[in-house]
Amino acid sequence: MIVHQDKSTPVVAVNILYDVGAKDEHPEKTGFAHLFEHLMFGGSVNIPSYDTPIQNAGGENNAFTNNDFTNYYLTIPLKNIETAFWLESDRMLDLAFSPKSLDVQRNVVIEEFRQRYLNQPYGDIWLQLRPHAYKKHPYRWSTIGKDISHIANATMEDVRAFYKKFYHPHNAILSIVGNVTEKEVRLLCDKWFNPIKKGEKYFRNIPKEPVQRKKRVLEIERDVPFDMICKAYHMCARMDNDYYATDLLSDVLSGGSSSRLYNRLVKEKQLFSELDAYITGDIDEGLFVFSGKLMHGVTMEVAENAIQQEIDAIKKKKIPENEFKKVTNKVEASVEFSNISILNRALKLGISELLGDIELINTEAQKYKSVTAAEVRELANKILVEDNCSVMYYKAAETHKNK
Amino acid sequence: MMVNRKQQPELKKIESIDILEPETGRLDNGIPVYLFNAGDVGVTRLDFIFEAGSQFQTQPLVASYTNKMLTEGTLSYSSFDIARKLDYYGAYINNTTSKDTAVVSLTALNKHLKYVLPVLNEIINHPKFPENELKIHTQKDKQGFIDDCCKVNEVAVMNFNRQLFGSKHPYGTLVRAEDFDNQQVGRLSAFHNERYTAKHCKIIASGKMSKDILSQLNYFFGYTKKSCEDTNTRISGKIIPGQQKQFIEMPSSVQSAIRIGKISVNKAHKDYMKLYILNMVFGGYFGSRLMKNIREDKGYTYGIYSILLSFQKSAAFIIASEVGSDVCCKAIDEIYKELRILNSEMISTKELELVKKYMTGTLVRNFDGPFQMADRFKSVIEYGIDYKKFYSEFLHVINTVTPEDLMVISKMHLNPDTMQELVAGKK
Repeated sequence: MIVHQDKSTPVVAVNILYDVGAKDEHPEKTGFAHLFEHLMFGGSVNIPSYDTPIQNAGGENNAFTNNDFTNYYLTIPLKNIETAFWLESDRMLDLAFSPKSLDVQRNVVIEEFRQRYLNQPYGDIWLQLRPHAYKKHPYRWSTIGKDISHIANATMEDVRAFYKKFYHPHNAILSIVGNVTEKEVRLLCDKWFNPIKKGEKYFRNIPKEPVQRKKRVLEIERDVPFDMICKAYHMCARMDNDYYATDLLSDVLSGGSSSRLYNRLVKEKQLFSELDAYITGDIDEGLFVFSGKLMHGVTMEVAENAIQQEIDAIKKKKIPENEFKKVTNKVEASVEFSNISILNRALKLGISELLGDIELINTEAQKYKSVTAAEVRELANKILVEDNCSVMYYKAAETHKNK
Repeated sequence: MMVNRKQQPELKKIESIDILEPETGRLDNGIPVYLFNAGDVGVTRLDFIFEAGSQFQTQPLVASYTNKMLTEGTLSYSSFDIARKLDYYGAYINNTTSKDTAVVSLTALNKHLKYVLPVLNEIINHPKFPENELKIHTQKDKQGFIDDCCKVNEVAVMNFNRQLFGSKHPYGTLVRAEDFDNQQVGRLSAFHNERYTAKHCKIIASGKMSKDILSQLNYFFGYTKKSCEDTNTRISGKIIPGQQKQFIEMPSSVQSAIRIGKISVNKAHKDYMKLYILNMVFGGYFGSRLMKNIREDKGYTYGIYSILLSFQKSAAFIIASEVGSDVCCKAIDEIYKELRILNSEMISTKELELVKKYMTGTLVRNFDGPFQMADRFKSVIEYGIDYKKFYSEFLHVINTVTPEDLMVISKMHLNPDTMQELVAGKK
């Protein structure tokens, strides 16, 4: 339980993070953490509907699932904060597990799969890139699941087992931001959450991704208008000392419209209509990704070489002081902007605690500031090497090109 | 202590909302400035609102490219200089163009404001619209547009506007790929000259600002040209709604996008608030009838909603969803069924109470902090509406509206037989 008092707001943000993500799924039952997120709104043991009482209290809620964790969040007028405790504690106590809810939410998730991944041009990029870059680690599947049949075949038995294993106090982090004191929150916790049986702490045993020793190439063809290229390099884990420098490396390359990739490859050379470099920022070892859509008439080879030139440049040449200062300034401002929303602060507190360092929310900006330009360059030399790269050529089908 | 988990903790009614009145001022050239000075974050946001939306353009995309190209080269700075300066101070400029307005929004840390205001001045008052920059942007945007034309949802959005407002009215403009090639520097600069003047401008400043913000603004923007003769004659077409039903076939899609809706009333209309509440019941929130039926009962879709879109000169009521192609017809039937129920059966007090409480809570959230208040203010100012009065009255209407009132509104504004319909995808 974490409380941050903000006296300026009439609203309170309540965030519950469960330490379970898609990486905790069985390889033959993927997409479960996310399906389960949907079922958490299907009524709990004492309360038939989650949404109605929260709407009655003037609150708003939602949730998201990623590969590392599942997060439930709400904002509610401070006066009605107790409703949040009542609802959240009941669905931590036990769910209703109605067969109808499972039936409907399976369909809803299948439609979500279609809407987001199948029915959008380039929508399946991550479904392809993950298993290309990861061979052992469960990051090799997306939160929506490897295969839609895993969702279609989910049984009530699977669902109950999943709940029992992951949804209990031992696996949850509650964070609250608003005009409340720790004492007030403690009283509410004692009343609503303390009576819930703790459950057994889950210890994950996730296979480490073996070091990649050779460049991997994947070529696929889709019915899209333009070619696309993705290059993914393995990078460090979230709590590694190199994390901040890696993030800054992506910013030098691609943060903002004065960045290198945008100016040289999108604007000067006009090879890409869009081009980004970013990190996934996962808790375990993540990916440093380049992804770009090619301008019509540009070949994959030319596009890839152009990215390579920028990689070589950052590896060989010192990053000018002014350019580096720009990047760190920008990060400092972004951190400040992201702290405006109480909901964001509540989420950050939850994640900091999950990572095992609650102080992170306060020290984050300083950690970025203490990185040097030389360290960023060193990291480029360590990560952005050919043997560590999984490249995907995502080609527009000829039939589409001729249209 | 045993708690009763079956019983919801007692709810407190929300009687009033703290609505901060902005301080107002005027620059030397008459530009009105509205200041929302509150909060405790060291960030300032400046919104420059110009009456320069797409309704004022004579050719497609001129309004949005005029706005977008402001940051791509000025009298003293190149596009790269501007980007570098803004990035160096961690400031953001957001350009958004809607049917009615063009907004240039700057967000910066207070301590950096004085360094970025001169850049903003260049952008707003001295843009040069370099030819090569325009070419780069239109060509890459054209590719984005071609991508969008493969998305059922985007295709539905574009074509439904045309269907609702017709080809004669600027709100019904349908953009085509070749419009990107046809952009000309001269037109953009003429549009800027005509519409980005003091006469067409308002400034909203929000955040925790220093006392001299008004004089800082006056120093940079108090000299902006007052007005310019409107030389460009705009399309002054009438709204003539198009066909009742439209089907755009996209054979490779696995989902179809549905739009059902009609021309409606805007924020200045006496029925707006009640219709807004009725829309909330019907499809405006997660617990709405459309969501309950089509997602939570039938599982046809990941999401469905209805919305009341208000524009200066018109409005639209639109129901939108992406559904599995195999259940598209069934989903459409269910939507009409829900419309008929709304038109024939009184809303229960219980359902209305729920919506009222939800909406009151939403209002509280929507007035949380200076940036939120500035957004609310921005959303009504173009209608000449007094914002405090509008939202106080809104709260009052929410608290007092009856099922009978809403039945009258439903029959008048949401008659299923008057709806237009579009499907993009497969049926």
